[in-house]
Amino acid sequence: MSDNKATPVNVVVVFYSRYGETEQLALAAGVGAVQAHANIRLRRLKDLADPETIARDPRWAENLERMNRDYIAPREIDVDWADVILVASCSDSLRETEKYVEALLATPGRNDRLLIVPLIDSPGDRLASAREQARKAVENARKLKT
Amino acid sequence: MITLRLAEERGHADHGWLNSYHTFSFANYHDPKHMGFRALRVLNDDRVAPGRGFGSHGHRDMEIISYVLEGSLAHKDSTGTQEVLEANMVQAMSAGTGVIHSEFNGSAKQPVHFLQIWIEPAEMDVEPSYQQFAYDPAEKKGRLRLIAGPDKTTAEPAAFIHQDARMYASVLAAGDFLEQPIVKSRHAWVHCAQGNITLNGRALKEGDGAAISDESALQITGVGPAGGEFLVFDLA
Repeated sequence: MSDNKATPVNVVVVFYSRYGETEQLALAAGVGAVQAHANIRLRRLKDLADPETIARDPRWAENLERMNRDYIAPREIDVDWADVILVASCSDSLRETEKYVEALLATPGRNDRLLIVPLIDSPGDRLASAREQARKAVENARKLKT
Repeated sequence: MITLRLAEERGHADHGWLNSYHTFSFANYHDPKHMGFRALRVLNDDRVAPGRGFGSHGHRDMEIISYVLEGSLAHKDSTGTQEVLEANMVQAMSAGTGVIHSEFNGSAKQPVHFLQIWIEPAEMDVEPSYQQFAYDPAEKKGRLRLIAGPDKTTAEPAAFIHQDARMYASVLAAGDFLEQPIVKSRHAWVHCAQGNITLNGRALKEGDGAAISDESALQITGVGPAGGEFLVFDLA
């Protein structure tokens, strides 16, 4: 175990959330990664919708204001830092994460050891499942590094 | 033996929204000579601008204590806790197997000034937990008021931590004096949080710290004009 923990694994949890549900999934994945002794960063993708659309939906606007305080969007240096990128998508819109992953895959010179892992929002205990998926991803990344 | 750690020699990071002084190595400040003292690993002196704060981030296997000097701090974590912390209140979080939390200045107008303390736990992989309590500031005047320690039951409410270490807070008015014996082979750290004190005859101002080993007692006096507020750590 201690040998395993000695290999640092860096995880960026990238998510897109409107009302906070996918944020919960991302946080659970983050906890799972921490449990697996990874270093983590949580990053929220910016909305592709225009501000007027968001303003018409008070619940969205309210959650957005809160999440904008708590998270920044993923940066290039986060990708450079990462061994694993866990991606949590919002069931209301897949465009944000799809666009992000496409751009990531198209980036020349990207670390080819980087694992990009979509989080599956499973039925049942979705948070426990997200934690477990993150733990597995960290273990896989650690194997690749040693 | 008393070794002073002067305020102006600490690590310093000014991010605009956050002005932080690091008694020990932390984040981008790394000095192998200052990696902590005994189980005390981090002592950060933080000022956070109104409405700003630390976004969600993770911790593992660490006892994290927040001690607010001025203003308020809003805390949220993955154990489901959501609390606001003010002066004369204490927050302690056992990160254990892993937590994610965020901390923001709870006020849109006033800055918050607080100390963040990390103590390495003796036991790894404990269930994450969160504790918070308030106390009467009179309880730390002229004496050492226990803030955190390894005892399951204490005379006054105190946070439980998974380490053979005790943290006390105290306020001494100018001219007030207290003496605390040190059990043989144990160590102490004193951090002057505000104002001025003397420790065994040596002057400590705001932000100064002192490592104490092979001494039989701490003799602390409040110095004018306003005396001082300080923390004492009893360490194995």
